[in-house]
Formats: sequence, C-alpha cells, structure tokens
Amino acid sequence: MAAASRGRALLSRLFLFQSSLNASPKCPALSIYSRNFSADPLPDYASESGAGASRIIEAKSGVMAPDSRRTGAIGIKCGMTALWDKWGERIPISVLWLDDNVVTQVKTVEKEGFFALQVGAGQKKEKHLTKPELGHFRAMGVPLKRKLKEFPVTEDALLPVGTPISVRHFLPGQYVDVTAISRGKGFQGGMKRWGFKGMPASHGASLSHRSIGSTGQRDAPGKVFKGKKMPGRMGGEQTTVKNVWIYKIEPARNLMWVKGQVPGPEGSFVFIKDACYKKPDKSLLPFPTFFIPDGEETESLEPIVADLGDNDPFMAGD
Amino acid sequence: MASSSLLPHSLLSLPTASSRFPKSSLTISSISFSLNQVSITRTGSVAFQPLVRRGRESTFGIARAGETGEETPAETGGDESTTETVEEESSVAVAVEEKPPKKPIVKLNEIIGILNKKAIEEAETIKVVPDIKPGDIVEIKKEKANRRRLALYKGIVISKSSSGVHTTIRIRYMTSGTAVEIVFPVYSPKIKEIKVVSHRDVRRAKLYYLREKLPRFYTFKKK
Repeated sequence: MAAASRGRALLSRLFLFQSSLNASPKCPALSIYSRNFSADPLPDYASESGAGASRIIEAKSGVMAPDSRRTGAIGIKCGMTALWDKWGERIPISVLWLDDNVVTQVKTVEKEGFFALQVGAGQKKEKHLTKPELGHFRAMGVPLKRKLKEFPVTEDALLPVGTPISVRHFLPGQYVDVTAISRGKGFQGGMKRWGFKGMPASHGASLSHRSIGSTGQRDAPGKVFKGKKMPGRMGGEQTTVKNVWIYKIEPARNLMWVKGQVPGPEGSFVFIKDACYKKPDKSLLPFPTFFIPDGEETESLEPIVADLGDNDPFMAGD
Repeated sequence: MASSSLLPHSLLSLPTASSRFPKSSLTISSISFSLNQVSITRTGSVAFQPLVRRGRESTFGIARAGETGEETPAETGGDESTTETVEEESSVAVAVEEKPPKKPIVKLNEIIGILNKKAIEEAETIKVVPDIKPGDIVEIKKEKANRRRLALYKGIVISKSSSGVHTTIRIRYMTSGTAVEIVFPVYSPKIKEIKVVSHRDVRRAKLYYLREKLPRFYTFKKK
C-alpha cells in the first residue's frame, strides 16, 4: 500500500519535472525530487503540492440536495411480532436493533477515489480481534466493533470519524431497503428453489412428481445452457428487501420496528439504507445524520410512531 | 455515543462499550488488591490460599476472609503486619462495597420477550384478559367496521397459540346450521371484552376432534 503510493507519488513527481522543463522551473519540485534518494522520511506530497489539501469534515447538519445520498446503518434482527396501529389494523413487525453504530472510516476521492463512510456496529473484545483489525480501530481511534460495512455517499453527506449514528437517522413512515444474508435452506429441488410446477401426482406420471423435467432441446444445440435452473443450494446469500416501511422508532434503546419481513435469521446483521424506489421526502430527513441536540435526554424520549393520517380505514361509509 | 445506554427505571440495560470497560477494570483492581495483601502477609502460612480464593470469588468477601485467616496463625509474624493487613482489608472492603451492584445485561434473544411483555401491558389497559385454556366456553365482544354495535361470539376454545402479544384463540360454535371456527387475537384493540362463561373438562390442548363430533358439543345458546 505504501509502496504503491510512493510509486504514484514518484510518477507525479516525474510529470511535474517534465512540466518544469517546459515551463518555468518550480523550486519546490526540484527540492522534492532531490530528496527522493535520501534517508529522510517521505514528505507529505499532498500538502506541499497544494492540490488536494487535507479535507476537513465537520459534524453539522446540512441541506439535502436532490442527488445527495446519506449513509445507512447496521442493525441486528431481533425477531418478529405483530402490533396493532391506532386504527386497530394489524401490522406484522420485524424488530431491528441499531447497536452502537459509529462511523469508523471516511473514504474520500483523494485517497480512495470515491466517497464512502464505513460504519461499525456492536462491541468486540480485543482478544477476539486479529491484529490487522485491531490496528485499524486503533489508527482510527474508535471503539472495537463487531461488524463493519461501507456505505457509498455523496460528498456533502460525509461525517467525521467517531460520529454516532442513532436510530433517529431514520424517520418513522419512511421506506428503507434492508439488505442481509438470507436464511440458508440447504440443497433444495427445483420446485422450492425456482418455483417449478412439478408434474401431476397421478395420471400415470412415473417417478417424477417434483423433478425439473426437460433441460433443453436435442442435437441442436446438443448441450444444456449455462445458468439452467436446477436443484442446488438455496439461501445463505445476500438479499435485499425493498420498500420496507418503518412503523416505529425508539431512540432510548435504538430499536426500529419495520413492517413485514427482513432477510436472515434472528441475531444476524442487516444493513439499512434509504429506499431507492419509494424515495423519502428530502426535506424531512436528518442530513447527513441526526445530531443529538444539547440538553436532550435520549433515555426519556418516548417511541415515535409513524403518522397514519386522520382517516380511519375501517369507516368505509364516510 | 449516547446510544443503547442504561435505563434507570427498568431492569433492561443493553450492553455498551463504555459500560463494559469500567466493569472489567474494577474487577482487575479488586484482584490486584487481594494480591497486594498476599504479598505483605507472611507466605507459607495456612491463611495464604483462602485469602486468594476468596478474593477471586467475590469482591465483598475479601475483608471477611482476611480477618478469619489472620486470627488463626497468630504466632508467626509480628503484630504490625497483622494490623497493617487488617487496615488494608478494611480500606479495601470500604472501597469495594461502594461499587454499585451489577445491572443485568439483556441478551439479544430476550429483547422480543421484553417488548411483548410491554405490548401486553399496554393492551391490558383496554380490557382485562382472563386466563383462557382450551375447553373454556367464552363470550367475545368484538368491534365491527364503521364502529357499529359490538358483535357477540360465544363458543368453545379449541386451541390457544401463545406468541406474546399476538396470542390467539380459536373459537368453534354453531350458528344457523353452520359450524364456524374463528381465530381471535386476544390482545387486539378491536376485541372489547372476553369473558369465560364456563369450562368443560377436556384432556387435550387442541380440541380438533370436535370437528368430527355431533354439533351439540359446540352449540351454545346466546342469552
């Protein structure tokens, strides 16, 4: 990593040298070039060349532009239940727990080539982490996390390292996309895995009630096409459930109630992002994230329920 | 990091990084106290092992163990060392007793159970739900659409499915020549009253055999 950056830096120096030959020679370029062969530590090229000055990211709220993208969060699926809303309608609920989400790394165009925020969730003991992982947390100065996930963002949505992302980052009533590794189903046949219809249970069907049937044509093409749906291992892969509606939020315990199903078993990590299809109202979302105002006691906050409107859906006659 | 902090008013407390670190450091310091004691007292005495063991088991037991250990072999060693260790133990005991009792950590698989209990408490404010068992003959008053008069259902409970706030009971009854089975979520806000009228002795948890029985076993007169 260091060698590659040094190589890039050397190349950039060579280009500068060429330009200095054509144009007026720049004294700093020549002095840097001479220093390459000394035992001195490599100087900070970025600051000296003047281009790409170190970026200052502040933790303050801003305005969300139409093409802005803000971070997601990492939650843990606690389980499922059912609740009744204020009109008495039953809502199937999945409970997600955003356990100690903290920004652990900021990726920028200058160093990595894109803008992203790495978020960490959970807690981990030092003895359970490998030395490279431990060094990463120490270098960033953040507590040890159990799960790290990168969320690509736009430049205006960057947050400084160590910013907590609470459940108030999301609004009750907004739609989110939830990504997780689905439950593993093992080796499954065509009917369960691909939704094949199978064959008749009787009327002479011999020994092939759930089989996949034919797998292709005859001599032309004379082979089975790649990607032919066949039995195999099902589940245990990353799936995204889109347009999940957030019903309720509890800031005191960082819990989120969402409607419907969420992939994965209980206890697994889920990654929650703003929905890409049913986009939320940009003016209402906290951007880049929700900063706790001074003097607010999170423990004493009541759960926030989505606004269900004034019309009772059961009063049909009106 | 204000998220998932300890709640003052309930037993629920989700583990945080900040709450874990002081706890571990406290236990380490208590062990170091006991080791200090051991280094000062005379080695090779019978009191050596009980001191160390007690210190590891419980922090509150250090003072008591030290005192009992000191009294028995009083010949060896001087009185100064005895008083020193007793003073240290008392100071250690004071420091250790000031530590607040450990708050119970909530495990992930208990969260849903706790949330269900809370939801049941909220639902109980609408109506008091009696204890229902299969074989009970119950009367249920349920609110219908457009908030007209409450509908009354009287039948025998043939099964109960316990699932926290979504506990359901299945009622079977006969109405105008048709047998009907309805599933009622017990804690739903639309159910305004559940009353156990009587009970029939059954030896099953699920009374699905009533489906093959004569209708008189699940016909009830509504008064």
